[in-house]
Formats: sequence, C-alpha cells, structure tokens
Amino acid sequence: MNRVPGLGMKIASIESESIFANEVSMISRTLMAASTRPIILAILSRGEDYGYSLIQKVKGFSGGNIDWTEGMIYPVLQRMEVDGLISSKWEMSADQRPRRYFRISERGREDLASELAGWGNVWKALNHFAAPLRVEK
Amino acid sequence: MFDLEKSIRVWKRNLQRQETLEDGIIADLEIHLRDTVDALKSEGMPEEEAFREAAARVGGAENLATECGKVRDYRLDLRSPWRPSRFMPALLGNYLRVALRKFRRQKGYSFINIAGLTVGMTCVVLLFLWIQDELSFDKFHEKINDIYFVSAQCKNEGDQLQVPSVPGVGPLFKELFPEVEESARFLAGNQTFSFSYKDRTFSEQRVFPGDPEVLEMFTFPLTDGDPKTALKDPASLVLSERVAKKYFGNEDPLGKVITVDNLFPMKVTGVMKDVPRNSTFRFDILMPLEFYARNIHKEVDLKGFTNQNFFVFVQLRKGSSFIDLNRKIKEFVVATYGNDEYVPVLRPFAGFHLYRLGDGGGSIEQLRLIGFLGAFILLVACINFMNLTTARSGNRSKEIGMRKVLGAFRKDIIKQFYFETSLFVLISMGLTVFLAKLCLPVFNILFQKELTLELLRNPSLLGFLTGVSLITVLIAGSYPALFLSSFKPIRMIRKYAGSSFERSGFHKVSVVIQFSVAIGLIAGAAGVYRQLHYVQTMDLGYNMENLVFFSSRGELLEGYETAKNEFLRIPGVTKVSASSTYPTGGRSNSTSWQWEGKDPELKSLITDMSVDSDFLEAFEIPLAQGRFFRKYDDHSGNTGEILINEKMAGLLGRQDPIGTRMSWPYSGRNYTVIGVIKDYLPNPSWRGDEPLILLQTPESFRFIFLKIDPENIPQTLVQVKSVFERLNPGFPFEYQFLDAAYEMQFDSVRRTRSLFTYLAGFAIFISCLGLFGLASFNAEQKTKEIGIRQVLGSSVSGIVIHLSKDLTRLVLLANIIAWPVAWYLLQGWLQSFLYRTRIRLGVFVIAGALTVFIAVMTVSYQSIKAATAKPVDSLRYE
Repeated sequence: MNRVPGLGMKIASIESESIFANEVSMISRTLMAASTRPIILAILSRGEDYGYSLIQKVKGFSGGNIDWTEGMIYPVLQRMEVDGLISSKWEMSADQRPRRYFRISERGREDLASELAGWGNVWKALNHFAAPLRVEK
Repeated sequence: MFDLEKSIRVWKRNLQRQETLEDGIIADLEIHLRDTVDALKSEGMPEEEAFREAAARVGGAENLATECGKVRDYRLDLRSPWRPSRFMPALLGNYLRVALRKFRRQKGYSFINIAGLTVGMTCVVLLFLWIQDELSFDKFHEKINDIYFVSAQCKNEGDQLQVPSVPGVGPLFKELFPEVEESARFLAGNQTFSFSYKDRTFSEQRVFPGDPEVLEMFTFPLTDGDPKTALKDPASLVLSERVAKKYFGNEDPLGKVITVDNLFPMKVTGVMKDVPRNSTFRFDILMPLEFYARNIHKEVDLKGFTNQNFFVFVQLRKGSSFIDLNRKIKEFVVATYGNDEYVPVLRPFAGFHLYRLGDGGGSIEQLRLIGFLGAFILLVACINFMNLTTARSGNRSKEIGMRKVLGAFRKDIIKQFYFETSLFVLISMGLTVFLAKLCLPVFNILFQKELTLELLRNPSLLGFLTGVSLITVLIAGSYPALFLSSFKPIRMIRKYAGSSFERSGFHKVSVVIQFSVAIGLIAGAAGVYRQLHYVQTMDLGYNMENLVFFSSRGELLEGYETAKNEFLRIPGVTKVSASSTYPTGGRSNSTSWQWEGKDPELKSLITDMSVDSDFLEAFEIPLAQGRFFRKYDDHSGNTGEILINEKMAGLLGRQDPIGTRMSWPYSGRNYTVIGVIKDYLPNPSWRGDEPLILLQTPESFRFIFLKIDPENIPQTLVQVKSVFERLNPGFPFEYQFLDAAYEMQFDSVRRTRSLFTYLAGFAIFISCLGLFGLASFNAEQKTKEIGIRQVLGSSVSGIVIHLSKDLTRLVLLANIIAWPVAWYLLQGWLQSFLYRTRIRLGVFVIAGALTVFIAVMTVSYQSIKAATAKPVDSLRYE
C-alpha cells in the first residue's frame, strides 16, 4: 500500500503531441510537477526527514531520472506545510548541523492514500490500453 | 585562494535580496548547499568546484523567489501576498495623528517652519505675478505674431546703436516688398493737448497721433464707429470709453466736435474700449498722424527719413519670414545708398515690451533680476524648511525604530515623512495665498502694478504653486524621508541617531547657503542705494533747483516775449527762459552738421537745442569762451549765431573755435560759433559727453522755465498760474519742478532698490527663523553638557560663546562666499549706467556686519536661555 507503483520505472512521455515517442528516459515537467507532492508524502510516510536527504533519496532511487532543481523542494515543502500535509521542526542533527525535519501529518497520510489510488488507476488504464512498446535505453 | 565561507556569505546575501525568501527557507537552502558541498568534496571534487556545482543544483535566487512567492495565495488586488497593501487607511490616520501631535507639542518649531515657508512663498508668488504680468503684455492683439516693429541699426563712432525708426520706412516698405501687407505708425511718447467740449476743458496727456491703419492692425476694438474709416479724416478723433464718458456723459459721442488746443475743431468718429492695462501703448485718445504733422509739429515729414521719434510697425502676410525680409531690406539699403550705416531692422512685436529696441529699454533685464531673486528666496525658504524638518526629525529615531520593529518597511517610513512634509507645505500654501492677497495692494503701490490674485482664474499660478509645493515636499521631505528611514532599527532604538546628522555637515552647508543669499541681497540693496544716491547727487554742471517749467503752447508760443515780461513782473520769479527741450525730456540729434575741415569719417551724433538768451543764467551754466546770445534776438531769432559746448569744441579740433563757420543741411543755413559753454550733463542716462550746439530759434521753443525764489513758492505759483491763464486761456496750467522731473527718471532704479531691500529683509527674516530653530535645537541637544559645564564652573558667557561659535562661524563663512559673488553681479548691473558709483568694500562690510549681528543675536538668545538655566534642571533632563 505504501509503495508507489511505477515510480522509478522508465515510463513513456505522456506529452499530448507525442504520447508514444521515443524519449522515455526523462520525466516531463508536467508529470514531475504532479508527482512531487505524492513522492514527498510517500517518503515522509516512512519517517521524518529533511530536504537534502529527500532529494538524495529520490535521486538515488530513480537513478537520476527524476531530476528536481534541488532548491525548489523547499517552496514545495513550505506550501505543503501551509496546506497542513506535513509539519516541521528544527533539530540539531548528528553532524552538528541544524536541520529542519519534516513529518507527515494525519491529513498528509489521507492525501497520500487518495493519491496512490489515483495514480494506480491511471497506471492501470495506461497499461491496459497501450500496445506493447519497444523501449529503447 | 578560494574561501568557502565567504562565497557562501555572498551567495546568501543574493538570496536575502529577494523579498519572498524568508529567513527560514534561506537557512534551509544554506544547509542544503553545505550538505551538497560536503558530499561533492567527499567524492574528491575540489572545494571551489564543489561550491559552484552545489549552488547550481540548489538553483537561481530569482527562480527560487518566484516559487516561494507562489506559496501563499494572491489577493484580489493582484499584489503579491508578501507585499503590504499600498494604502492603509488605518496607518494614514496614525500618520495624521502623529503629525498633528508633533505640531501641537512643538508649537514653536512648527510656527517657525510654516512661517518661514509662507513668507518665502508669498514673495515668490508676488514675483511670479509680476513676471506673469510682464509676459502678458500686448498678447491681446490678435495679429501679434504677424506684426513687426521697425527699428534701425545705426553706426555711431563704431558703436551699433538701435534707434526707433523714421516715419518714411512704413509706406516705403509697403510699396517695395510684397510681404508687407500693411504699415502703421505711432508718434513715440504721449503728447499733451488741451481738449474742450462746451464748458468742459481738460488737459489730455495720453494722446497718440497715429495712422488710420493702427485701428485695423492692432486690437483696439471700437464700440462705436468703423475702424476702417475712423481716422481717415484728418480732423477726426477716436476716444476711449472712459474719456468719452468724461466729456459727453451719457450722450452719444459720435459726431460731437471737440476743440483741440483752442484752435482745431475735431469730430469724434470712434469710441474704443479702454486700452488694457497690459498694453505697451497706453493712450486715451487717437489722433490722425496727418493732422499732427500738418498742424502741431510742422517739421515732421511723414514720408521723410529724418525724424526718429516714430514707432513704425508693419504687418507681414501669413507665411512670410521677417528674417528673409530683413536680408532684403539690407540688400536694398546697400544697393541704394552704397553703405550700411543706417539699416532698418524688423523685430517681432511680441517681444516689443520685453526687448524694446534691443538696447535694454525693455523690461527683460528687470524680469531676469526678479526671476533670479525669486529663485533665491524660494531656495532660502526651502532650505530653511528642510533644515528645521531634518533637525527635528533627528529626535524621531525611536519612533522610526519602533515602526520598523513592528513591521514597517522603509517605504512606509518614507511615505510617512512625505506625508508629514506635504501636510506642512499644504498649510503653508494656504497661508501663502491668504498673505499674498493681503500684501498685493501694498505691492501694487510700491511697484506700480495692477496685479490681481485669483487663483482659480489663473491656471498657471495654480500650476506654479502646485509645482513649487511638490518640489518643496520633494526637497524638504527627501532628506529625512530617505536618510532616517535607512537606519537599522536596532541603532535607532538603542541610541539617539541624531549625532550622525551633526556630522553630516548638511546643516552647515544649508546655513551657509541661506546666509550667502541674504548677505548678497543686502549688499545688492546697498549697492543699488549707492548708485541711486550717486546719480541723484552728482554734479551735472547746471542747477535745477527751484526751476519750474511748463510747455509753451497756444498763445505762449506766439507771444513768448510778452509772456516772459509778464512772468518776470511776478515778485517771486527771478529768471525766465525757454528752450526746445527740457533736460530729462527727449532730445534731437543728428550726424549731419558740417564744418570746414570736418573728417568725412566722423559720425558723431551732435545734439542741437534751441534756447533763449537767459538760458545760461537760469540754468547757471558757466560760459567758457566768447559771449552768449543777445536779448534782442529772442523775438525773431538771430541770423546765424550758435554756441557749442566744450566737447563740440574738441570735435572741431581748433585752438580757437570762436568764428568757426558751420552748416546744417536740414535748415540749409550757415552758422558762426560765437561762444563755448562748459560741458553740462542734461541727463545721466544719456551719453553724457555728447557734443552740443545751442541755437536761438524762437519757433522751436517748447518749454518755458521759471527760476523762482525758494521763499513763498506756493504764493508765487498761484501768481504764475493766474498770469498763465490770462495769457493762454483754454489751456490748463500744468507745471513741473525740474528736480522732480529729474528724480522721476530714477523710478525704476528706486523700484529695484525697494525690491532688493524688501527681499533682503525677507531673506534675513527667513534665515534667522531657521537659525533660531537650529540654535534652540542645538541648545536642547546639549542640555546635559551645559549642565555639566555649569557644575564644573563654566561662566554664562563661556557657555554662550561655546554654543554660538559654530553657527556664527558659518555666517562668517557665508560672508566670504557672498562678497565676491555680490560684487560681480553688482558690477554687471552697474554696467547699464553711464555714470556709475564705485562699489566699495564698505557696502559688503556693512551687509556682512549686519547679518553677523542679527545672526549672533538670534543664536545668543537661545544660548543665553540655555546657559542661565539651573544646572539641576538640565541634569535632571531625561
């Protein structure tokens, strides 16, 4: 339930004019924008974390295919906090650097659940309708 | 050597410049950056490269700021959410409350501040009205842009002289040049005539002989009569409504016959609207020039090229260029006469009032002077206002600090200060209009103007006031607004920030400027006063005291000999003489006198004048050589004897000028020099060293002079009047004292003097208000210091000197700056006089001493007050 289906897989671009084009390695901006919040919620659902670490995790897992401008995560985090999905507090980390740790809130969990269901449905529909593709690396 | 910490600081500062990036996010970003740098370094990347890579990964400051800006919702007014709204009604109320509280608590300062600006602005408004009035002259003529004034450029001993033109050029130009649509002429200057209708006889002084075309070319609208024909008949008159009413009351003036000078019946053919106040030509009666030339002044040849007392105007066809025409005229003159010694030149009538002949006769000089003085006063008043505002605002650092702590941006503080300044300026402007209205009648009398102040009907004044207000707010409000608002709140709350003011030198500079202007104005007033005194008391070479004169018209002209004997029979009359002109009046001169051995290149203007045999005695002019005219020639004129002055004798270049034969082409007669008189100066505004020739031609006598006994002057005048009226019925007796007439020509100098005196007074007043404010501010700042000095045994005088010396020193410095500038400007002004006084150091010393004295008095008052306060009070302060 906590896993995000499809995340980190090579998925085809869904840009309208070239749905089945060959550029499969990078994620489009639109998809990235739509996926940022669920991904952050997903990571935080496993425990509290700070910005740098979040970025590293996403990067490491996606092998660089999900490439966020790193600073941009903070406005997103701020917005999520304003929306009540997460909360934050400053703590001194083990390496003696103050860090802001984010924690998912109850509302965040609910949001994540509905996002997962939504993304699952989308993924199902995509898989069902698409003819098998020859994916080139 | 790369310094990571420094680079991070620079990078961070870049982020801090972005309004939307809050401190928390910046901290997040910094830590993120550091983590990234550490990670990259651990992969073996050099520190500098790691920093650059990390910074690139974090992203650009502007992009980050934009993203952060989107975090919160936009408001309805589309302003970004992190910006406060532009207008906060609640704050406005607070600003007003604070401003009024300041006003109430610091009544003295508020008064000084507003009074200074009000007085200064009042001066400026009055001067503005003056300038506006001068610029409005003649603008009511509908065809003003097509009308040109014909003057002439005339070479005289190497000088270029601008002279009025000769009457012949008008008709000639119309004939010669197709561009000229119409020409019209006035005889220069007002002529005096006696006008009678039935039992009413008045002496009319504002009579203009002019061409019939005058009524069509210029806009002097007729209420009765036809402008095309009104002056065509030589025996016709056009009266102003005012004069028509005087003679005919409610009767219809058209067709009525008025007798002029008891001799000439003339029919009223037109009634014109009274000539507007702002007309260069102001007359009540228009008389045909033809009539004047035929009957009154028979020497005038309207087609001729000799008499130069005419104002000749031409109206050009639309689209023709007067510059081209001027070139054609010059070509014509050179082609016809073979030289360019006398070339008529067209000048736009629109500039006639200001520039007249281009010889300084217009009012442009005075206008420039007024403009300068107005600007100076405005400067002083604004500086003063700014000075006091800044001095007082130093006390407000705490308020500003608190506002900032509570979330005010710098912009808000700036807004608040501008608001307060605007409030003060608005109050001042209101008072200014009130005060200016109050002063206007006095101003009008002093400067012979008829100005009115109607703010709503005068959009340029309204615009001017608004402009000046805005500039004042900008200048006076900017310093506190921009300077004080820039301080960090912590500094302002912890400690009074005023000390940095005093160090700024701003006040010093402004005090020096203010007093420089004031000293300059005082020196100016003193210089003008000296010049006036100089020309009033200079030795002219003749005695004008107790000389009464009147024009000899009617019977007096014909029977001068009889009249002279009658006048001499009056006990108080000691001498009677007659001449063709009076010393301050016009003169006739020409270059055409000839004598044997005259250098053909010599182009000196030689003045000629007709006098009777008693002229020298009446005017007490000494004879240098030879003899004067004989008495028995007074009646019919001598056959050809003339006298010359020493300057003329020099021109003849002979050892003994007596017996020199001279001739004058105009009269076609030959003359013999019988004597030489000492040079005298008829009028200091003329070229004083003019060569002069005296003739004895009774038909040219225009004025009769009576030397009267200083005892019982009124009684003598009554007797003179009765003799005059008996001899010359139908002419009102109107006399002038020569010294009074002489004085009158200095009216403009006198006006300049009053202008300087009043403005200098105001400048000093305003500057001292400012100084007073600064001194008290200074004393207040040093309350504790004074207390401690007193406790430690300092004397009152010691403290006063200590407190006053700084400001006094500044005033002294202002002297040093003002003196050379004032000297230079005064010298420039004096250049316009032929006979001028020398400006001595004393003028400046007096001006300087006066300002220093006033300044010291002003400062001392505050200092003494502070120094005599009880130390216990001063030390308890705070």
